[in-house]
Amino acid sequence: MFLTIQELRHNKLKFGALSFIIFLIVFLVLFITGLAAGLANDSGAAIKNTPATHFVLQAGSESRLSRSALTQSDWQALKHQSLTPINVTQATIERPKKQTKTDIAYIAVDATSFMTPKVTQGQKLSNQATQKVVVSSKLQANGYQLGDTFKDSTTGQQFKIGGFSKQMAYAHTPVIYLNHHQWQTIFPTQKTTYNAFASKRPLSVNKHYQVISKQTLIDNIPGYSAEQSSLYLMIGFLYVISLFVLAIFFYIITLQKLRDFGALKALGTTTRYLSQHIISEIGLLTAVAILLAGGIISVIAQSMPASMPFMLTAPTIIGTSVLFLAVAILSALLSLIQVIRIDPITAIGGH
Amino acid sequence: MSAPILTLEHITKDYPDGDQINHILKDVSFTIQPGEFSAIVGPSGVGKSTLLTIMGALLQPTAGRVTLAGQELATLNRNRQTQIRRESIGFIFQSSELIPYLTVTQQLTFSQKIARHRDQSAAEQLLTQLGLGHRLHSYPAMLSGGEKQRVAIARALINQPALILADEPTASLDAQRGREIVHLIRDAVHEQKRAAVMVTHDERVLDLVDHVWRIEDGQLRQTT
Repeated sequence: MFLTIQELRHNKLKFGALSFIIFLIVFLVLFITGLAAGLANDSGAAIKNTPATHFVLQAGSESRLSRSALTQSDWQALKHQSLTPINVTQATIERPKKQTKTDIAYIAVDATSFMTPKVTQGQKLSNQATQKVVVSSKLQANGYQLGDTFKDSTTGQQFKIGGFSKQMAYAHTPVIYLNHHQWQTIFPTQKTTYNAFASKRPLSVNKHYQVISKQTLIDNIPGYSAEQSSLYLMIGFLYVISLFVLAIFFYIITLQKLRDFGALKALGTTTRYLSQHIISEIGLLTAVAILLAGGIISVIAQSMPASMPFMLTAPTIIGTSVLFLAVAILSALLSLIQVIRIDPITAIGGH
Repeated sequence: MSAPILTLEHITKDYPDGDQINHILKDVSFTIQPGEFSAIVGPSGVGKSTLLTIMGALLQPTAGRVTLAGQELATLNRNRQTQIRRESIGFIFQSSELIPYLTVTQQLTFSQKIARHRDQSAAEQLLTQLGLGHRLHSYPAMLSGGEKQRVAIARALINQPALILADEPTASLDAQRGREIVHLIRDAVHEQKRAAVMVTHDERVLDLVDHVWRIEDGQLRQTT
């Protein structure tokens, strides 16, 4: 540690620059991680934050809610398995007197089932044939308030905001929860159909149906997998890039110091001491960079507008930091091999 | 005569050179007592530095026995050899090899630290004795060649080693500074009853040493 601190103090500019590079990479990793988590939440929160674990869909619907149509007779056949039917669709709403339209997702649920939304403000959803619905608090960003009315753009059917749920979203649009009566006012079909039956446990069904897990359903929300896989690809690449960049930087710095290390070994410094010196050097540089990046990203996360899908929790920041520290220390291995292999004779003219 | 600090008996050292074997040292024997200052001279590339690295437990001879402070080096493992270097040997290298990011005082306290007896005032006192009192907190980059070698001497002496090994300590200095440096080593040897071996090709400083050994064609013989 003595050597480490003296060296860092003496070469402030060199190590400051290295630490700054680490800072930039960690910052970028954290930012993309936050964006990935935010987008994931914006895409699937309305499904993810339910107690349901499995969903029954029509066979052949390829895990897509929109492709699944279950009939009343399907419901009769399966309802004994403590399921609850849901409908999901994307639509557009507008205020009665203004032309501004907002994209939303309707989710129809049985208000007495476990799929009913938790209300943070106003009244709960009921199964009555009223106009009162529960909407995602994301709609507040569009200026909607408790008691406001809006109409479905296609049918003109009017609803009133009876309550707000949390920031529920489906496929990047705010969710409006309806009961099945209200659903029928905008989709008046002869035959009642459902998109899926939600279940709180795994179940087996015959070949007319398909049972999928909640995560499979979320993965198949349009755009979800494409977004997440490209973002995680970037994050993965950043880790690999930083591993190599740091390894090369450290390797070059170590090469410059081979004579010093040879002299230190000739004077009787143990290889173990020098290895600790290398590890603590990169450990300290990385720790400073991580603290800085974590601090700044936390401030940014706080001041991000609500419309920006960005979500970074303390466990994510800590997890990323630990992973990055491990990557940085891994990158020092190449230098460590050099230090172990240096022959102290190099200090005496070199043979 | 007291017991010798260092004894080399029938040392040979071979280096592979292509498909031939290069016999650098052929049956070399050498001994040195406390209070003695010996110089090993000879042309370049005859194995002077090789001999010094064998004395300093940095290199194993092909054959022969090295005894340092009563212990046969070949019988010790690497860690014990490192410990011997730390505790019993003070090295002075050709181009001082100071650590660039340590101040003059820290060069010495680090050597104390790895030998586990840190004493900053002893370090500062020694540096002041060697005329470096005004340089205690300077980094090596700010020192002249002569000052660097004086720091290197101080670093070699700070742990009070029984044996000082100096590899061409005057090579990078002018004649006057070179003599000063050899004088300092001689004083330390004589006043503190240490032994020193200096490899050099600088014939002008040989009047300051007690014994001169010449190495030629792999053979070492004492000339004075």
